[in-house]
Amino acid sequence: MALPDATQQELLRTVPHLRAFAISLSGSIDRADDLVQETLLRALANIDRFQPGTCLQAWLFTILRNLFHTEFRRRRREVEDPEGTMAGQLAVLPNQPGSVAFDELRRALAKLPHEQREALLLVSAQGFSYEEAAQITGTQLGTIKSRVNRARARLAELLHVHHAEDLGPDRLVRAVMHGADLRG
Amino acid sequence: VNVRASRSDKDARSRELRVPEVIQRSTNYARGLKDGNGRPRHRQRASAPERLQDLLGEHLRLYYAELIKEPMPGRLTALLERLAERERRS
Repeated sequence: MALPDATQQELLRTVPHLRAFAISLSGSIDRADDLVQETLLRALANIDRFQPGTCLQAWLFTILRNLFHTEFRRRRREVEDPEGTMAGQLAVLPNQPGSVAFDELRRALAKLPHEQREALLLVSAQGFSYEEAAQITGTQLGTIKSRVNRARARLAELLHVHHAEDLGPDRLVRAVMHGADLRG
Repeated sequence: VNVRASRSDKDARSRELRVPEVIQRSTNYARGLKDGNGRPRHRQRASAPERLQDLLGEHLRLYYAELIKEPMPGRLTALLERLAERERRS
């Protein structure tokens, strides 16, 4: 089935976002790329199931998230990447200003339970509404709100921030934006 | 002659002079005294925990934006090129 131009363009635009979500979710670049590749192939094979007028991005994220969970169940005994060792595989992040702060954040994210991590990423990072995130994860609206709240609270604990001043803009965020050394 | 107005007269006069509620609400809104729902504006200022959540969210978005900039691996680029080529032919 041929893709309408607009759909194809949106699909291509969504790929970097899918990849960022997959990296954050799986904690591994290689697994993330496998997930994105498999997501695209499945999406193309089932494009006739996509309802025009609905959110293509949410549909693609749903496919990726379901693939991840299928794989996650299969690999449950495998150790995840709690220390965020994927950092060494990233091309951009380690060279970016403020990468110390990003390292901290990546490690903290990796320590969140995966349900909380995906909820937080979908809503706070990717910008989906709670309703869309609930749809993508196949959960109730209240469940997703609760997961996001718990994830935020846990993330603050893991980053040892208890007040806005601990995080920025005077310190962390400004440092990230301007490349200052946080530990200086 | 009792020159003092009765309470009911005062109330009536007060009602006459009272600015219609809709105008009052919009005036308060324009002055920044109240928010769009008629609540005092200061309630709109984020509390400390809310500010912390906002900043955490901002930090997360920055991190995510950097991940989005990550260069695509060859196999994904090749897949996307094949996809684009297929669409051009169809």
